Amino acid sequence: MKKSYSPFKWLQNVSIAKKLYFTVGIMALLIGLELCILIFALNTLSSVRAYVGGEGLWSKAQKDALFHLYKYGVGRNEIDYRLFKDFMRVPLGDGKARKEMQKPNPNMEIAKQGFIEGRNHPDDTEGMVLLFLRFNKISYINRAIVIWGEAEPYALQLNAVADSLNFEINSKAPSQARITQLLESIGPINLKLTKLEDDFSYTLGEGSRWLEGLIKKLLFFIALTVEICGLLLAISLSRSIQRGLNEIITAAGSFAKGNLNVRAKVLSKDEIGVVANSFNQMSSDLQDSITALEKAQTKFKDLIESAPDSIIILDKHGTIKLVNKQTEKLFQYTRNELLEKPIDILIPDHIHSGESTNSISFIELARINKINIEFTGMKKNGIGFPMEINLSPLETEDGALVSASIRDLSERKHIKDLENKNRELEQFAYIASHDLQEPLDTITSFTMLLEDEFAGKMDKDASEYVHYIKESSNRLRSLIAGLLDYSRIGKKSKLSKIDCNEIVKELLSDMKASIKACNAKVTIGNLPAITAYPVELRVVFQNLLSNAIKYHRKGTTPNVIISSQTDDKNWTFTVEDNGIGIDPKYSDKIFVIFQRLHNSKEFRGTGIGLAHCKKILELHNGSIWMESKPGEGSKFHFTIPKHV
Amino acid sequence: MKKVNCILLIEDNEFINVYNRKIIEKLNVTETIEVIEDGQEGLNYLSSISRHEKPDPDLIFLDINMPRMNGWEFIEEYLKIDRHPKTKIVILSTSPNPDDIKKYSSFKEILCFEKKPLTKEKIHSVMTKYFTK
Repeated sequence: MKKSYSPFKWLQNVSIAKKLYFTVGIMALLIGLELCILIFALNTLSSVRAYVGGEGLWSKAQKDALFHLYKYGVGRNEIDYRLFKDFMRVPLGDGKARKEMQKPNPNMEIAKQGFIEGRNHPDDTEGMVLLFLRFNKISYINRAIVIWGEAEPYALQLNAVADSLNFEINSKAPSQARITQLLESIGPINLKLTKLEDDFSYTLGEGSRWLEGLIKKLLFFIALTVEICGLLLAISLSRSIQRGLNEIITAAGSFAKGNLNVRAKVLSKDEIGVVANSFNQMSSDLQDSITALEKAQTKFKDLIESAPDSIIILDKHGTIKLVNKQTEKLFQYTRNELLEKPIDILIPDHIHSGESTNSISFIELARINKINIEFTGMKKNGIGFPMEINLSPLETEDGALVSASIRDLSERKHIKDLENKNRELEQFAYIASHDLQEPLDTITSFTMLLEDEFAGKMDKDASEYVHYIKESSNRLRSLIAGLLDYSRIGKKSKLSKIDCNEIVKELLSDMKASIKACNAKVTIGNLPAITAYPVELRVVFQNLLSNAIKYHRKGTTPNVIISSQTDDKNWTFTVEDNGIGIDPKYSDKIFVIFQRLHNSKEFRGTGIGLAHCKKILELHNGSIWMESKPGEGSKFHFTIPKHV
Repeated sequence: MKKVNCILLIEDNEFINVYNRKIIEKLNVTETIEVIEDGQEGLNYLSSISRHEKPDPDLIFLDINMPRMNGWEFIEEYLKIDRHPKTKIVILSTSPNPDDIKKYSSFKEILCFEKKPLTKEKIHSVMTKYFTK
């Protein structure tokens, strides 16, 4: 795009100092111009004055010459004739100057000389020549020159009359009649000359008045121009400064009131423009800082709000200054009920040990960065609860503050209690099973001894009783062993990567005998390698596989399929059989320890296996469930998370 | 199968002691059988050996769960005293803890861990394996 150039635009964009120089410069120039015109006008007027003076000299000389000519004619004194000639030199000198000046290339010196001969003052001659040369086209001057030219032949006529008179008087016989005739001819010439001399004077007078008027107008016009220009420049300068300043003042006022987006309009590239730009830059920077601060503040508030713990900020007197949502939730107060209240309403006995109960202690505790102090907190309804406080000091402009992060320990205590009870129960199960096993071992031992030592010596009934004792002991032993194993699940075992194909292959090898006994067919899909507790996972597969084979329908060949599936989160395994199936109403009961659906005569078992599986899968954060149609078969599914 | 001079039974249950003695006698693998009913008594017995008041045991069947001093504590103390260098120990337990097995299996005095009850087969196996010469 072509850049258009405008002097106003240029003026707008130069510095204020330059604008001032420019304004003063223009004024000085105009005043200088006015002075020049004034000087020129004065010179011109002075020259006019010189011409008027010159005309006076001319006329006086002519009249004097005339007087001596008369005197000569009457007295016939030769001195008068010479005086006449002397006086006549004046009009002749002026005429010489006029003729020179009317030449196309006049010689200034000759012209000046002519004027000097016309008895003009030498200082005036220069101006007279210049006026003649410059203004001969001006009507007044032109007419005066014409009049001057017309008067000269009359002057020459006088000269001719004087010469004729001189001739007559100096002749051998001067004729009085001739002399009188000559003297009489002088009168009309003089009359004509007087008339021309007057015209010349009037014309020059008119010219000088015209010139005066012209100069007055010119000077007035120039003065007016100077004043208007000065005024306009001053107004425009002050307005442009004011507008620029107003922009900045308005913007600053608006900014101070919080309108951070406001910017001053930059109207020029001068100092005001620079100030406006600087102001805008400062506003942007301030806005950025304020925005950043606000963001940080919001972030801080959000952080405190979203903290999982209750957070309370106290001043040094223990007055609550800030609480978060968790605090409201934990203590069941609303925010407004807590702000500006003493901390004692939430922690009535906040210093158990100390003699001082004021919150200075909190500040002191905070200074030594006391963490995990346990206190009893009090809810709005007056119920106390255990809690843990972490204190840290906050040095702010408003003085030292304390930030207290509070955690409700009720649940943790509850969980701890549960964990303790659980541990006690497991310990109980372990000790009970162990202690039960020992007398059982003794019974077994002596039964064996009986069989060994009295074989053939006991009658049929006695042998049978011994057999029952032995069988019952064995069953009790497996129950106790199962209970013991159950209580030990997850103890001291470590997660590791295991290939399920390997586990199942090993199991099949261990169970070769029972598989062969019922001619079972076991199909294994492609099983994954997973992270799990190896011993426990093996127990799960073992129980499900042995159940699938054990609970087969009489007269059918057991067909067992082990398969697996996967999704984003879990591995899912399925052990499917074509056995007797389970009524769905027992689908929960079968996973409870010692719960059996069949008596020992039908199917041997302890009622521990599936409970065992359930506990193991819970250990893995997985689950186990069953689908079945009685008489057709069962499907046992279990999942193990990919990240245990 | 070599016949040894003395087998020591350390076991707090008197019925089990009766049974164990019976079984060992039946197998006829030792000249004498000494029975001690807890670990402390066992230590007393061992110190009386050095005074030649009691026969030196070739083999000890040690129970773990005993009042006053359990089997493991007995072993700790036993390893400290001036004793017969060839005495071997078989540990008998109802439910051996895997950690304990790991810890004590490094001692050459301990031959093996056996689950209760003691049977003819178990004794036979120990005797043929460790006392053939």
